Amino acid sequence: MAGRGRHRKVALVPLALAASALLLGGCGTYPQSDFNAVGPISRLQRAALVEDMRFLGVIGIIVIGLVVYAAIRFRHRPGEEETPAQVEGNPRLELAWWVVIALGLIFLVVPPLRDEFVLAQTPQGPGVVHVKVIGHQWWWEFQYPDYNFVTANELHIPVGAKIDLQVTSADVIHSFWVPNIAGTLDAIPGRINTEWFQADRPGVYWGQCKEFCGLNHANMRLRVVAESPADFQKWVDSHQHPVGVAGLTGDALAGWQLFDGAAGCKNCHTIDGTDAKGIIGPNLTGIGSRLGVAAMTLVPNDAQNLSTWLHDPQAVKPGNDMVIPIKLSDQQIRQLIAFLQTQKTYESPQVKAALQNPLAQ
Amino acid sequence: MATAERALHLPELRTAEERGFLSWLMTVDHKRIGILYLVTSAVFFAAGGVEALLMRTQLIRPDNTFLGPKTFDEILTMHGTTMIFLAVIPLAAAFFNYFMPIMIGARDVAFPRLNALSYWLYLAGALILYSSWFLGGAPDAGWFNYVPLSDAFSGPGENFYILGLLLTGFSSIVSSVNFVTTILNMRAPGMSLMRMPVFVWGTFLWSALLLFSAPPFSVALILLLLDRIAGTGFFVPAMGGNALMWQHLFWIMGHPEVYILAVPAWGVISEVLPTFARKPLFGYRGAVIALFAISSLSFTVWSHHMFATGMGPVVNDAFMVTTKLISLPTGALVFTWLATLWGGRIRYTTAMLFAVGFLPLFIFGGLTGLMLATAPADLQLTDTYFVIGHFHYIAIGGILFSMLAAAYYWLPKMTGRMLDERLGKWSFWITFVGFNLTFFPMHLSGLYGMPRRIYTYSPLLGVDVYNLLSTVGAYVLGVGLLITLVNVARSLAVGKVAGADPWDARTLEWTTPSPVPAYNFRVIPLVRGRDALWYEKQAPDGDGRMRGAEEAAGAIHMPGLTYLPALLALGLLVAAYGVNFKLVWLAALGALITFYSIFRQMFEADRGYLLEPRGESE
Repeated sequence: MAGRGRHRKVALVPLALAASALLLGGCGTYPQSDFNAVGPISRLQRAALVEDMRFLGVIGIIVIGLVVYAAIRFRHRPGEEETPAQVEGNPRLELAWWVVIALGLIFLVVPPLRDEFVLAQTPQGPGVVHVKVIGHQWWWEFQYPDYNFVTANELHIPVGAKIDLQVTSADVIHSFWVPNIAGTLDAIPGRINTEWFQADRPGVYWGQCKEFCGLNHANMRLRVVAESPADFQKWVDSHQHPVGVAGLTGDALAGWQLFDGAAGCKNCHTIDGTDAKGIIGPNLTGIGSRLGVAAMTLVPNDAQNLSTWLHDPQAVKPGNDMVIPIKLSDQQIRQLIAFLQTQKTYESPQVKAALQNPLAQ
Repeated sequence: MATAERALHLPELRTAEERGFLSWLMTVDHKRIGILYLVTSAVFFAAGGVEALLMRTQLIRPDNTFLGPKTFDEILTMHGTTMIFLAVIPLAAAFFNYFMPIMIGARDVAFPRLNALSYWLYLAGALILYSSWFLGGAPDAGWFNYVPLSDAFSGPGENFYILGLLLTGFSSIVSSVNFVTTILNMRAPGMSLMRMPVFVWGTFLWSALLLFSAPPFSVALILLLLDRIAGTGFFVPAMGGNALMWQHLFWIMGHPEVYILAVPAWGVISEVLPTFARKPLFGYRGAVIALFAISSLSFTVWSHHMFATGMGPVVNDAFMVTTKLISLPTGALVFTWLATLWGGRIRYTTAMLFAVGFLPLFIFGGLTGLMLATAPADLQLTDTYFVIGHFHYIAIGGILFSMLAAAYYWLPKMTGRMLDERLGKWSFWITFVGFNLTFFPMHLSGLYGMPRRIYTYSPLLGVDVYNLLSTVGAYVLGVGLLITLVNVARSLAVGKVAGADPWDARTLEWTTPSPVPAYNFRVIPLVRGRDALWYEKQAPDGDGRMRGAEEAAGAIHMPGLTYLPALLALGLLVAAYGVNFKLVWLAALGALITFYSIFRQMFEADRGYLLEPRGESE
């Protein structure tokens, strides 16, 4: 039995290596991968990660290799009945491994000490965009104090600009995380945490709440849309001059009347340029141009996903605060969707692409 | 079986041989308490395992609807809480209870009644926690139970978490005091501190760690309980409280906790490797120093769980340094074990397979831990599946594997019967493969962006295949562990008789018959060297048998049976339900029972009884 066990163990090593090579090289896109760094912060974090992986990987192969070697080499073979040499220790050798590990630790400890100070910088200057991030169960509020408007679940930033984030929470602890651009920062009630980041490439980057925040933690997702400064400015302008409800006709008008009246939407939601000024739920200004429904639980933001959501918000996201006081008919849902789809903001090429294909970058 | 009872002034209810169901309620024998711990923790380990399989089943594919978010969150919370507090700590306590006194040549622990009390407190806490399933729903704020989610934002299950863990915390404190006192005072002649088996050092440091880390957590639990039932607002920002304070208090317990789980494992490995490599541990003194260093440092690293909470660069860097420093003594321990294998004649029993299998898994888990200790990297890795992969390499690969090694090594001593080696080896290989299949892919799903504690995920994340592998692996792992369970049942029924020393082992427990008689040693042994039994086997003037430190006396004085520790725990259990349901009369009744038990013990003289040894060889 022991013999068979040994052979299997030897066979297992290349097997594990082959399997991991297969996994690491596996196809597929990973929109929340730590390795696809597009800004200085995520690059710095990736560098720390990759340096550790390399250094520790080598150590791991050596030490585990020694263990496997010893485990096989010094096995009891039939016929060897004498007791092996009773070595109690060797002070020099022991001291040597304490020293070697201590020296190795220097390489592991010192380099990343600087990084934390880079992360903690406060960006200054005219190009800095300030954003206040507020976590809610289970969606994100983004306030732009520089431009005086609010949006939700989709953070637009200009490429190449430093973004100064102030992160907090309205209820429980959440955590803001957009791995391609920057690692995690907790959103803690009663406390404002700050970080900065920057995206160097236009694109749509995925993020999601990372601190367990209750029932629908899994569905508290977000997107960061990095667009050219010109596109960003157009997007800001479209928020400052929202389309409103003047000139609506047909289904869209009927939808607005539901939103404004029987369906009760305006009690909780704000749409700039209308008299809907509720503040319990996400701000819906420009909802027609957003990339997903229900904090990106349903993507893309099309009629079918909107319909799924409006039919039964509690089925999509159990425990969320959205309660529709009347039972909406299919026709009413169609009307509401027609209305919501009129509420557009400027759509940059990145937004247009992601509306077609959620994985588009 | 000629047992006799001699007339001192014996209280009622004394039988020389403990028998029957009632005797389990009243026992103060450290070995029977150890068995109670072992069986109870195995039951809760199974419960935690079933919870894990339910979660893995939900996550087998994206957008799955097998469990809703509420059930998933409850199971998530109960899995972590169960494994840490109800399975692994008590599993270590089981082996400590049974073997530590024997390994130092004592007849029992210093305070046999306290020992019984610690078991009954643990059971009471566990019952409170698990009764939540039937009394309004289990806690669902995670085992880490962060406020404010666990405060105003969660259901009645939280109170069960708080009250249950308060009782298991008391249990830990009581055990710790007992074990430390026992180790410092009850060692046989010649058993100097630096001759103690490393497993006994493990017991000592486990106790010391619990003694210092359980109290702050208990304080945190009481503050949270007051917030919940009395509206105090210690953790409520709107009332001047601080939501982050809970995390500090929690991790001041929670990180030493990791070493509370690991130190016993290292103790086991340090016994099993020398026995089957047939060499002494290489560098005993260094290993003891390393264990002390790790235990001390473990109190200085808690905030590495909180790099993302915005503590600032100076604090983050400080905790990054202390955390990485722990790898120095831990690395030294690994080399100690490696050098112990080196030049040995390794006999691959199942116990040894688990002990050797432990090494690569523990090393791998330690190295990924060092990645997490790098704060800038951790900001990406924290709260992803990478973390789950990492700590299960420690918790299962490191700790459970060593506990399985302990089971295969020591169960024959406890039951008197051998486990089947063939089944054992099947169990090892299936467990080993299943474990890696479950947890290695989690590192990848984490690096590719899958957060922890989510009940569902989008197919667009691209992590389907890793989740599928993890789920399949979890079932394979479950089969591997089930085989060990079958093996134990089979061994109890038809296992080969073990005899006193089936492994040709090194330490004092192997000088006693299997199972060990109530009095442990007919004659307290004289310890002449480290690995006392091995010393007698090797010494030119030894004959492979222990020498006695005393004349063979007649009957041995034993502590009496008592129901009072169980009654005390029952009183606290009743009081806890009173507090939970805000029923003053019930709380008062519980307090009454508790104080009755305490006063009875204060004024009762336990004269014990005398036991005539059975006449086996010592």
